[in-house]
Amino acid sequence: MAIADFLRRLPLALCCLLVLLLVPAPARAADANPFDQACSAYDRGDFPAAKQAYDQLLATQGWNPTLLFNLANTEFRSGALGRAALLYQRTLWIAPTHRQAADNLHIALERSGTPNPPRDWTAPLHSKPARDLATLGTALSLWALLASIAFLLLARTRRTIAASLITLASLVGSATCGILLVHNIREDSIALVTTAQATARLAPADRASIAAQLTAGTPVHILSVRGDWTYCTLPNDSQGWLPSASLEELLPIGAR
Amino acid sequence: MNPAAFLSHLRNLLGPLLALLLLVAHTHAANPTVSTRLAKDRITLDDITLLVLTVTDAGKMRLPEFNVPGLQITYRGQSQQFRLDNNGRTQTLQLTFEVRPLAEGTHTIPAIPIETNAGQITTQPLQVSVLPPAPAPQPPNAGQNPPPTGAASADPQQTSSAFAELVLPKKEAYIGEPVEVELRLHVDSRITWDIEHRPVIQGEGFTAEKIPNPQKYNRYRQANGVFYDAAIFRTALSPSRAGTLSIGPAEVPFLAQNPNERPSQGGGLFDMFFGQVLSGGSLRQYRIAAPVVQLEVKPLPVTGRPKSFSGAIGSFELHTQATPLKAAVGDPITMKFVVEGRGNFDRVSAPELIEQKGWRTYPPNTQFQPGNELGTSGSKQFEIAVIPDSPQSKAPLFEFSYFDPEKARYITLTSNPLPLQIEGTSPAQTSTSGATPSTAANSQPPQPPPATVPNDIHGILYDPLPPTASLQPLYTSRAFLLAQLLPSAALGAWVLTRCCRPNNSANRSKHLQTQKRRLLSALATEQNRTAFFQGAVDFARTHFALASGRDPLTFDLGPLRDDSSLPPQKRQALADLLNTHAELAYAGHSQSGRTTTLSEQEREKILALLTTIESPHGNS
Repeated sequence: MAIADFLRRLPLALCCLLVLLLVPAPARAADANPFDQACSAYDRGDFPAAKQAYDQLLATQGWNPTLLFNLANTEFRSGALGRAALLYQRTLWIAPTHRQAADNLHIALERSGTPNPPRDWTAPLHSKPARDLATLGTALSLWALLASIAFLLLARTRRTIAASLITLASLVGSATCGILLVHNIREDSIALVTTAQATARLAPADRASIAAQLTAGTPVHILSVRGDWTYCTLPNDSQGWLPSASLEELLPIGAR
Repeated sequence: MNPAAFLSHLRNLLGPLLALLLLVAHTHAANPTVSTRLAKDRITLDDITLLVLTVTDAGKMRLPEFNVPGLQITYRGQSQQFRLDNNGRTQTLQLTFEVRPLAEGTHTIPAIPIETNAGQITTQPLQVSVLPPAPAPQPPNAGQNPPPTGAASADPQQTSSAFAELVLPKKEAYIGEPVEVELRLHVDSRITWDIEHRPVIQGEGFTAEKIPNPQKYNRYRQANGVFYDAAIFRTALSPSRAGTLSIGPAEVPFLAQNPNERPSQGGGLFDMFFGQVLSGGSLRQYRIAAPVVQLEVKPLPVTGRPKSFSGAIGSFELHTQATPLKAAVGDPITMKFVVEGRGNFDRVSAPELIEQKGWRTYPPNTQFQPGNELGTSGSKQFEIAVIPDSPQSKAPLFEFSYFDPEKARYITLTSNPLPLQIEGTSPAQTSTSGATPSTAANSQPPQPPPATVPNDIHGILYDPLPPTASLQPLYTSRAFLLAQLLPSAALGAWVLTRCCRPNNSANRSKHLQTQKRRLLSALATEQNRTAFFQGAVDFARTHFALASGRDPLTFDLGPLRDDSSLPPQKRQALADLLNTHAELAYAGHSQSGRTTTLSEQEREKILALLTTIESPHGNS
């Protein structure tokens, strides 16, 4: 009787066993956090591995001040002072109050022999938060200006003094925010010298006269690009052609 | 007489003859001087020293003869120099005597009289101390490894005159463990010899440090009644694979005098100075090979290997210092670690921070101070800058791991939990200002306060990643642009409302006209006095609202008095109308006493008034 009962239930047991076998095994424990792996590689002194890991994280997660800062440190330890300065600048562009990035940028520029720009109150103006704030302020003040003008033109009330004051304030606000925004956008053409040294020439040719010798981390304003040469405004307000390979723009295309 | 015997006889005669000629040649001596010196004034009983007499301008002289009890003094030769200068010719003669002690104690070499052409001159007495014979330094296995009579030699005649050996301090080692090896060359003390160049230890499976210059020992060991000098090369081997390693052979090249050609002991003066030269090629190159020795190499155990193990093998100690002991959050603290002991210091790396929370570290500065020329002992110093991110009361703990081959296990050393005072925002203080005397004694001199910008960069950040910011400018983002629809729609709607509103004044006028007509027709039939006056007032208000464009309810006695477009009589009549209406509305009766009944005369009068004000300016 027991054997017959067992045989009757055997197909059901086999089916259950098959289902259990077909169910995928539980996911393996998650690999170590890539960020931790990158930090560990940095701690070990394996800077190429750390750089690769941070680059991958930046590619997948986008610009992040911590990632940019750590990658900048990795470049610094690898001796690429120009790249390090660029990445510190990018960190400061996203997080203008990043004290460590400001200090490290100072050191990187000192090591590369590049004069450090003075860090005054205008330094944070060229940053993403400042740009967003200026954009928002410009928009709000423009709408206020339009509304006050419409009120003055269309309203049949005697409150013209208040409306005029609002109009004036809106005009001043929109002008201020607009100037800040335009100034901020103008800085988008900044590029930094990422090679140890770069020679600016008066013409886009290797044998052209030398306009200036620039060290790693020197900022220039890009005016135009012709082939492998980039026409720039140099720190001494002169213009010159630099090899495009020796430059890297502070902001990528998507950030402008 | 054969030619060889003739040459040998001639050589024996030429030595004294030349010396005699040199002595005779200088008869014009003037102001002779003499000085004596001992090569060593403290020797052991089994050692010898040299006594050198230097005589200047002595001219013709005789060899001094003297005996000293307890010393055997043997004349070994002389040398002579001539010098010509403005003062004339100077002759210097050096006489060399070998001094061999016969008894312990302090022996005095008395003043030695020297007869010269100018008279007798006397030397200064000298003292020489003879010590008991020093025991020869015994190698670790000297008793087990007597000099092999058949040691490898390039010259069969040297089989018992020189031999070499490789000496290992241990027979087992671990991969990477530095093993100090001695390569010893032993040469019969009676032979003149010198190392030609450094040897090479052959073999596979290990790396060897560069072999430094050897140390030489006279009469290093004695075997079969023969004293052997020794040259000992020391180096360190580092096994690179497990198994049985064959170390050697190691061939030691050296130059030596052929014993068969060396001058006879106690031979003549000629032998001492010219024998080697005239014998031609008596210094020959020999190569002695030290036989192979075996070393059993074991791999490092896998179990129990700490995470902080970096390959250091040996025996080490860890010492920790921190400075300053008081600081503010964010100020760097210099942690100084000294790892000292014996082992492979090239694999000794900086101690690792155990708990990183609350601390940031910088790469260490490393300095190695070798304790021996092989670098297998010494101390390695690491200076690590750590920055507290929060208030702390103790220094961060670091650990250093190594493998101890004697104990055959891994050992982890942890730094001392030094007391620190890290405050939130207080300025940094140096250890001398606030440290207790005991800790201040251990700490380094105070360092200058940290600069605003440190010399090294801030370390990487380990905090969780903050949200990633979008790089897209706000003015190009879709959300921002869509958000602009809201104020634009509101403004547009308001403007449209203001601009597209129908002609209100015309409608209002039409509405008021209609109301006036309706009121006038109602007044013609109204019997209630209060209602009649209410309708009359409404009519008047509507009329004035039409005329002035104002709100009908703003018409009252005040505006009526100010209205100069009406004749005074009508203004007065309208004022009476308003007063009567107010009395009826608020008091319930008028001054006339009639409260409800309206006379036809009163109706006609008021209707006439209302009709007349409709005419332009109410003049009709």
